[in-house]
Amino acid sequence: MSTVFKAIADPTRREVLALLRERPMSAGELADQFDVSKPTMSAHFAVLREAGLIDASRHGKSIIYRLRMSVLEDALMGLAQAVGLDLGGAAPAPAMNRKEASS
Amino acid sequence: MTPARTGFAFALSSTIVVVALSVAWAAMVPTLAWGAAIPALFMLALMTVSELRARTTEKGLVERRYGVAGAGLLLALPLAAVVGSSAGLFAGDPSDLSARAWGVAMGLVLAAYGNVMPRHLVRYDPNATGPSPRQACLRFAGRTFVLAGLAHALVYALAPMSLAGELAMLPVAAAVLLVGLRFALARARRAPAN
Repeated sequence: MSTVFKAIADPTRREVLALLRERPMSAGELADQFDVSKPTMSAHFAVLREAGLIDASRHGKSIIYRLRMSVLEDALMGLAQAVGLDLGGAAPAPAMNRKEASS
Repeated sequence: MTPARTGFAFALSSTIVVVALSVAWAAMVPTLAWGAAIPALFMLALMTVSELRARTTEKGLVERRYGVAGAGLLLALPLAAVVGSSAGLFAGDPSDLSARAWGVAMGLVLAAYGNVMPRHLVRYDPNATGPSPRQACLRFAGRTFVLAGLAHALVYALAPMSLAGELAMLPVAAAVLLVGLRFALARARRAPAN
């Protein structure tokens, strides 16, 4: 459960989950929605995968991410969103680039 | 141990546990034993067959184990109520207590089932631009069954036993109806596009 809390503590990861609530998306489609580097996005995807909140599968040359959130995890994310939970330090932010630093 | 052998060991051990619980049921409250044992044994049989067939995916095995744990809960919780009542730990009629415990367990199992429903993976459509109707339906179904299961458990825990059976069926029936309607509407909306 701690991996789930860690995963939903970061606003970018919550945004990824919110996008995947709509439909499965490729890594590229998801990355296009954020002003962060690809390595940073990959790190976010890894945290979400580790928490079991998303599933990754290969579809041709793309990696497709699909939501695997239970009702309880969805409710927790809603709560985190409502209270504006941002534990910053709990979220790994490897490979920060200039694009991120300026945003 | 290979997944297949783990699956067999798990199926065998869970069968022994459920059979032992059923025998204990029959010894303690013969009149109620079959009512509790039949659904649990049915679930166990279903899960055991799936367990033995799902030899390769560990994820599938974990989910089936939760199912067998649910079957065990359906037997163990009412039995604990009967044993506790006979030992003087709880006041009240042992039959009423076991029926209450069974209703609570059924509600919790339904809520647990609803909880994992949205985890079902939907097909990826590279041409899709809007929301996936199936994913939305699964989320709706999951939330509805969680609420219905919790309501079922609460009714059995708090309502008078003379009314609990009928009252507890209301949220479950409403949930089945709503979910059926939601899936039918999604299918009807998709049909003109095909």
